[in-house]
Amino acid sequence: MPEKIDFSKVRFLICDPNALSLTMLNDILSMLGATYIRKVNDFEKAMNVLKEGNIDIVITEHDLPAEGGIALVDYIRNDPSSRNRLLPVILLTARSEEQYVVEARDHGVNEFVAKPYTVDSLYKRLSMVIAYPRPFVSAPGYFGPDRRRKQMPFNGNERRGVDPNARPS
Amino acid sequence: MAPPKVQIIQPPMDLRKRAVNFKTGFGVILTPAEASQLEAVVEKSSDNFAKQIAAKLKTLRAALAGLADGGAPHMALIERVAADALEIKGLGGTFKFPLLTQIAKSLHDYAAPIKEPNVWHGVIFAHHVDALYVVLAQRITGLGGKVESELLKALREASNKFK
Repeated sequence: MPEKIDFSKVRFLICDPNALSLTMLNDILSMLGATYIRKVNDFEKAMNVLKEGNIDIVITEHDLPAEGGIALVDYIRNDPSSRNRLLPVILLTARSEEQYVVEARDHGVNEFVAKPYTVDSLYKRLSMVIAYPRPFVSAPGYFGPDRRRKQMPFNGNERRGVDPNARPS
Repeated sequence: MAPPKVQIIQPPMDLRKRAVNFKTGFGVILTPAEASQLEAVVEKSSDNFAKQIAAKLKTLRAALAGLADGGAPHMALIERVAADALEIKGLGGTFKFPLLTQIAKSLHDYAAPIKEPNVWHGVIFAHHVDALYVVLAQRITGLGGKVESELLKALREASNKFK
């Protein structure tokens, strides 16, 4: 029997300065069955919602007044006051050029969806962060999802300390 | 000196445990019927999209037409053109107007780097805005035909020539 995702159990924060984008995303999530969707159009409001701590997934635009979506990711991943450093973040943005993809990846974004998007592409990313979450990496200068997507054979010495029970400090 | 410590942290599974099941919700992989249900949400917003973008383009057109004779656009207007273009770029394709996305991308790529406005900037903006307006008014979904392709090429060439 195939697995299903009950979106009524998932609490969303969606951040986009564009009202139409925000409404459409809200409508898509509602159609999926989500009932807890917090909508904000700027960085400050997003921060306020995050500080309350009742969020499972963040979907944000890159261009978020006033600090930007990447600053929001930095807060979630690295700020001592962050309520959940492992919170899944999907960047859903019209900034689709390679430099933005690399920037997002290096700041700890889980998934990147370029606008204009299809509902199928968005759903695949949602499904990934819920059903198949990636391990996190804590390293000097980086805290976020493992950036290695491919499992490559490696014959050298294993120099990374792997502790399955390690939690972020 | 000891190498910097790198830790692999196992992913949190609480969300998966809470939301993934075998009875309720949408498949982890969408079925065609589920995909159609979601597409219908986008379809429903399509008219609203066309209205909002048309209103934006109308305002931009008026602002560009209002430039003093032969005057260059001011920075605030340039920033607004860039922001609106980015927004249209991001939405067009989702609503089955990929040509709108491509023209808006050309406009955004042209407007965003401008630091010192000149007269040509206003002219190139106006041509882009007119093209966007026509695509929307004529409801040209898809990438259009040869004429649309030539138009896009011409806009890009003009943008490169009058930087």
